[in-house]
Amino acid sequence: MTDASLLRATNLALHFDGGRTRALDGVDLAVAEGEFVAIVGPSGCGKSSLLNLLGALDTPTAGERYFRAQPYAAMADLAEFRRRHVGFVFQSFHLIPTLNVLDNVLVPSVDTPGAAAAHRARAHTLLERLGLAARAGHFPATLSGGERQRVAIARALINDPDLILADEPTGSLDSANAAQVLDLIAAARRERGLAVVMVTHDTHVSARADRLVRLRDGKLDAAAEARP
Amino acid sequence: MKRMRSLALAAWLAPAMSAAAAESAHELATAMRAALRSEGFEARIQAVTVAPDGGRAAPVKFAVVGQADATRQRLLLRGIAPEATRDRRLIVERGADGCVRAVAPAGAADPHTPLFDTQLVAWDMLAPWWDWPRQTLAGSDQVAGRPCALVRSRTDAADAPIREVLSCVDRAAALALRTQLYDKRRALVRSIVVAATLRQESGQLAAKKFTVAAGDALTEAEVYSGDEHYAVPADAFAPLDRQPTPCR
Amino acid sequence: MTLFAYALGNLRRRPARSALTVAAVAIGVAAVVALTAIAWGFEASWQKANEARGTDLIVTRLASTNAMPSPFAAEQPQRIVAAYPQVRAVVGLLSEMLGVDAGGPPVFVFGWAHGSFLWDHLALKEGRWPADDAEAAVAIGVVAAALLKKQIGDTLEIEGRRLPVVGVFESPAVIENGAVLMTLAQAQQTTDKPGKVNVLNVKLGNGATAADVADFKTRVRADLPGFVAITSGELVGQNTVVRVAKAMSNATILIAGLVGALMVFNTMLMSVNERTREIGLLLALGWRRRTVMRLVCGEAALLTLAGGLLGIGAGVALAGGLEHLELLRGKIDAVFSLPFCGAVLLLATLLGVGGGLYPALKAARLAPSQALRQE
Repeated sequence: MTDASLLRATNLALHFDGGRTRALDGVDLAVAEGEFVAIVGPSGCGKSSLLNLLGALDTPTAGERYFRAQPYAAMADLAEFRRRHVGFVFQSFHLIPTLNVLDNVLVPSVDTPGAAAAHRARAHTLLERLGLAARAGHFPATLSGGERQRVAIARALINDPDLILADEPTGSLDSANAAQVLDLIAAARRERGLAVVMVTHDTHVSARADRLVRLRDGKLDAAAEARP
Repeated sequence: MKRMRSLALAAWLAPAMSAAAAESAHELATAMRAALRSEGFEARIQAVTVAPDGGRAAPVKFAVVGQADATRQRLLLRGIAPEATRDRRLIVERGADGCVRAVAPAGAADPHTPLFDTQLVAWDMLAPWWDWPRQTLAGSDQVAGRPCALVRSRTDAADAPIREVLSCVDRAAALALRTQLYDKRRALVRSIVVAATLRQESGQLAAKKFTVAAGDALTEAEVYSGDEHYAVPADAFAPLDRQPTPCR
Repeated sequence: MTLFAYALGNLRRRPARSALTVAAVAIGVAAVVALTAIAWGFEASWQKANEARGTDLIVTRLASTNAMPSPFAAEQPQRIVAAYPQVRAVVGLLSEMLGVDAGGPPVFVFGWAHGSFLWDHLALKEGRWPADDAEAAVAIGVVAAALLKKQIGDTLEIEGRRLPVVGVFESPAVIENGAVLMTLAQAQQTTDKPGKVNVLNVKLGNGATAADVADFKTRVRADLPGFVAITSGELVGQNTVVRVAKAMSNATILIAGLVGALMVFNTMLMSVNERTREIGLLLALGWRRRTVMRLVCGEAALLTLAGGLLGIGAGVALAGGLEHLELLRGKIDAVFSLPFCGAVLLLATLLGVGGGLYPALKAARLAPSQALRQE
């Protein structure tokens, strides 16, 4: 049987302190191309750990991860995998304070092949699309929370990824900005066929997902998985 | 019993050790005397006297021409600058019998008199204490971090202004790094300390910079020029031969 | 966005710390540049003086390690050397460092055989040369004239002799410009060294080859025990003062390099520790580990480059200032060369990169997820 999923994780486990702490324990997950999967669950249940493993920011204690059927373990350079295929959006934005908006968007493109001018042009286009063209030369400290998250989204899209991994992207925003951010992510999904895996506590967010994955104590609550 | 044996051993060994030590001190004194030998040299010295309040007098320059063999040592001291010092002369000699004589143009002179308004004394330059009969080792010390052996030289000559000299000698270099001169009451009269040395052609170390302290006054001296193979003129010391002078 | 701009921005983020690190590197580099220039300069000025005089080789006694070679009776060595093949002229020279006038600074006093080739390269600016060996008079270099505040008609007191200044000259060699010049006979009389010199200057024929020079040296070793024939650079190079100065300069290079590298190491380590989350973010966003290392080492290189450039400027100024100190004026000709300054800059930068290497490695090895969790 061929693996048509974009992303697949089997029996993922993440243990600490010699196994005394089990952030994840035997999690199976598959994400199809262009699918929006929301990961929900109580605090400390392993949602962010799962996201980090999917984004190759951490190494699992056990289990396998595949991207378009290629095992992560077989990838020579996980940084390249992240750079080419993944865009990250974080709850606390994680913008670099000493770089202006344009340069923050360009950060992931530093090791990306292609002319710097082409990258800059893409960044300008993204900022325009996200309503931030006039703020290109401004620094993060002068931006509102919503504006910062939009910069982060532009940054996540600069290398034209296949997948967005978002960890509570609306957690620090008010409802209006949260809705705007979700709309932007949805638009990007539509235009680019992006898959989105999003950790969230927000039911408004999870309601917009194609599929809900519920974690409890590091394990999938299979009974709770459903389409909203 | 054990204690008596130790005492007896110490009593037996003491003269032998004392003799050995005295023999070593005399050997050192002989080596020091030998180090002064020269067929002829000229050294030019600049001396600055520092008053107790720190005030520095104008520098004085003078030349020392010398000859020394196994039996006799002679020095001609000639003032160079300033004007008041120019061509002032003093000739001193240490004979085989240890007698020190001095003569100036005006006649017999006192080799213990400070030279050219400094604390330097011609008598010191002859180092006659190395001929004194009583030489003893008095331990060791350091001068500016350089280890040296203490040698005490004593004379019983009743009229000697200096009755005892304590030298701290660098054995290997046969150079006294510090020389302290005491009178008959064992009061410190002068102290000569070598601050820097130079290596001569023969490989021997000599004093390049030294200080002479007498009471509160201090003279800093530096050998700024010299000739280790100076051809001493035949008549350099003639006034000494012509003029009868008493032993000092 | 370029790595360079990013690195520069990071350094600007902590202006005080960056400035202190740059200052520390600059001080070290300035000390290296100044001391080395002076050490080389002392050697170079003597070399230049002999080249200017037209001297090919010098014969001297090398037993003494003191500042000036020991004086020796010139007659026999001069006669022997003059008879060697390819020798065009042999001229004796007496030089001493003497205090001039009461309380005046020490200056070089040269005694050159009257009418010899030693005088040919000098340019008389004012007055005249001493007429002959019998004239007790001096000519002084332009720097000596300024230092001693003397002009034609004034007198100089040297070793108790009052000598009139009859001429002021200029020489291509700075060491001669700061000197007092008289005839050899007068110098011998002044210093009470009749018939003595401390150096024999030898001029070889135009056709003299390296083999002739080697032959000359061999003959001197054989015929004049205790004497050597060498270039002036070799003589000065063996001089204790020059060796001490060079040793000090080498020690300074070592110490300054170590201190500079440690300063940069400390600065970069602090910087990396403070930016753990940011570096984790860069790795998370797909930066290669070697790109992170390039960033950190690049910041280190920028610090040391800035410090090096400042330090070279300060070192040149320092050496220039020292040259004008009364004690050193007219005696040294600080030598700066572009290749040397370039080498210093390169060394400083490499040491800086070296100092930044461990912090760079530490940064590159961060686990992105852990780093992102740091406050």
